[in-house]
Amino acid sequence: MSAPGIPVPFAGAAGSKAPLVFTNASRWFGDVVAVNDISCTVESGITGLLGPNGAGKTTLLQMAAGLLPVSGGSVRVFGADPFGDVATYANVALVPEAEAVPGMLTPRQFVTARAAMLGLAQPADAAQRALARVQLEDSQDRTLGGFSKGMKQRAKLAAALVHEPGLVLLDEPFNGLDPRQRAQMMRLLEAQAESGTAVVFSSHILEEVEGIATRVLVVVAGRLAASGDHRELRRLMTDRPHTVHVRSSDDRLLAGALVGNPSVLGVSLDENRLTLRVTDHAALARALPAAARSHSVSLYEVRPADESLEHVFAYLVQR
Amino acid sequence: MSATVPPASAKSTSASLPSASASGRTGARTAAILRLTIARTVRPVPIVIGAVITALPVVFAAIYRGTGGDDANLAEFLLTRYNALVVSMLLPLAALVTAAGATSAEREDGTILYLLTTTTSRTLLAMVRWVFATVVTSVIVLLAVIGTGLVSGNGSDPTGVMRAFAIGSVVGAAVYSAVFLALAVWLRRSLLVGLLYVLVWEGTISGLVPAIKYLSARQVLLGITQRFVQPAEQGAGPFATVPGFGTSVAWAVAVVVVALAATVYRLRKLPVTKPR
Repeated sequence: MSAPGIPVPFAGAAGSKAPLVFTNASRWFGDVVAVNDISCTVESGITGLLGPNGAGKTTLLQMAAGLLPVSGGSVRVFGADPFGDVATYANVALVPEAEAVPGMLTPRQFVTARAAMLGLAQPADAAQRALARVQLEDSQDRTLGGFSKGMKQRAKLAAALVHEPGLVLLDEPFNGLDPRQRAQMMRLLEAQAESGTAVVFSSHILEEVEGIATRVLVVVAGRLAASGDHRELRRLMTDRPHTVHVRSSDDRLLAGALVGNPSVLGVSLDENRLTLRVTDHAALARALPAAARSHSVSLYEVRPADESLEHVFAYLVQR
Repeated sequence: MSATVPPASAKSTSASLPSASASGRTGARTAAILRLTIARTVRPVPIVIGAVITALPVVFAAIYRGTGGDDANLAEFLLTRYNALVVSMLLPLAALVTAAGATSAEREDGTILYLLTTTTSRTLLAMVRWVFATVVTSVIVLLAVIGTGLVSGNGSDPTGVMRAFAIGSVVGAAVYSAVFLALAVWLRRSLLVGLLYVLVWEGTISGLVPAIKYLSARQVLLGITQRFVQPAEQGAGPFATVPGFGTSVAWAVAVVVVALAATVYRLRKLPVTKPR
């Protein structure tokens, strides 16, 4: 499939030491295709994996983390196939969506055990550094079972970052966090990316991805629907035909006045409202009040109809 | 479609990266696995239930002595109690909890991911969990066997039954632990399946149908135990349907090897979450 957005050179998997390269990667479970022929390269910095629930984001992350084999194509992490090779984890970490942590352990015990199982020379020191980075030092000797969701999320992050991996994969890291915790998590990920780590996180919320991702991969129904800079993606998402519902004192008169406007692609009249298809919200915002004023029509309601993320995704898939 | 994006900063290859290693530091790795295993296994409820079941045969022994039981009937008493309370109940339950408990719970809540996404080999993970379960189960069962034997035998083991069951129980701990660990990585409801195996398969079916005696860990461990009791006790009571000593040893070794291999194989490709 072809990508909307910026034209980009394709970096093949062969010989590539990029943190993460998918080449025609597919994964199916029985008859269900979860990931369908995705090719992309992730470099360092923060990459947002955006898509509605069930789009295949978790499957992609699990394949990248070597927990699931591909059904077709390939995945390479720093040039190597991650599946079934524990050496992968020297340089990769996955923070799962599941909130569960070993509740009977303290963060220090949990992170130290991870450090030891990763073969670090000084597990306790490494754990201390990781807990400091996520600001859990003050709570490191309380058991994880009593932690809030945001604190558990940070403990999971410390467990993932304890060996300072070159690639960190996070599955819905902002889910269930309050705005303050969310901002804190964003700062942590940004700090991690600044230190040179490639950070990939999944989300179904555009604003989260826009907030910190330097580039975005949009996944819909197992396919890569769009990719690129987040500003580019925002433009793609806004420069598409919009539907606007209008209620006024005289819909028919207003329709006649607007149909000649270049930003209006089409008008239709229902019993009690006027539906406009437009290319450019801003142009309509100027044209609509002007038309209403010059024809002495009162506007009762102007409402965009299709601004949900699902509509945006659906539009991107159609392209 | 294809896409690539330029790097934001320099660090992109493994060369500049951390000290995590895929080999070595086996001692620290083992200690970490043990810590996680113990944290999951040593919980108040299993400890209380385990203590009660461990004490049960010892209480029977005290009653036996207290109500005038003598050395003449001691062998029969011990054979009956060991068979019913230790080999059929305490041993498999202790092995089930210590071998399958931690792994089963970690799979249930998904935290096994934190063990699997490390550079520790799946073989080491399986071996540490198996040795842990075998040692803890052996200690628990030996407490019951030796406690019961010494109380009922007034401080000694005149019939040799205690020694025989001590040996058989340790072998049984190793076999059950390997089987239940394999169940825990292969099945979602391993504790339930393990319990059904103990109660239904071993408790009734394998005693009734002699042809399947080789497919029961209990029959195999009793086959080994039989070798160490006196000739008068052999071939009767709990030993009525057991396989011979050599066959039992071969089966015990084969089951442990196959179960551990199956565990390691499965851990290499364990699904950590259900596909959506």
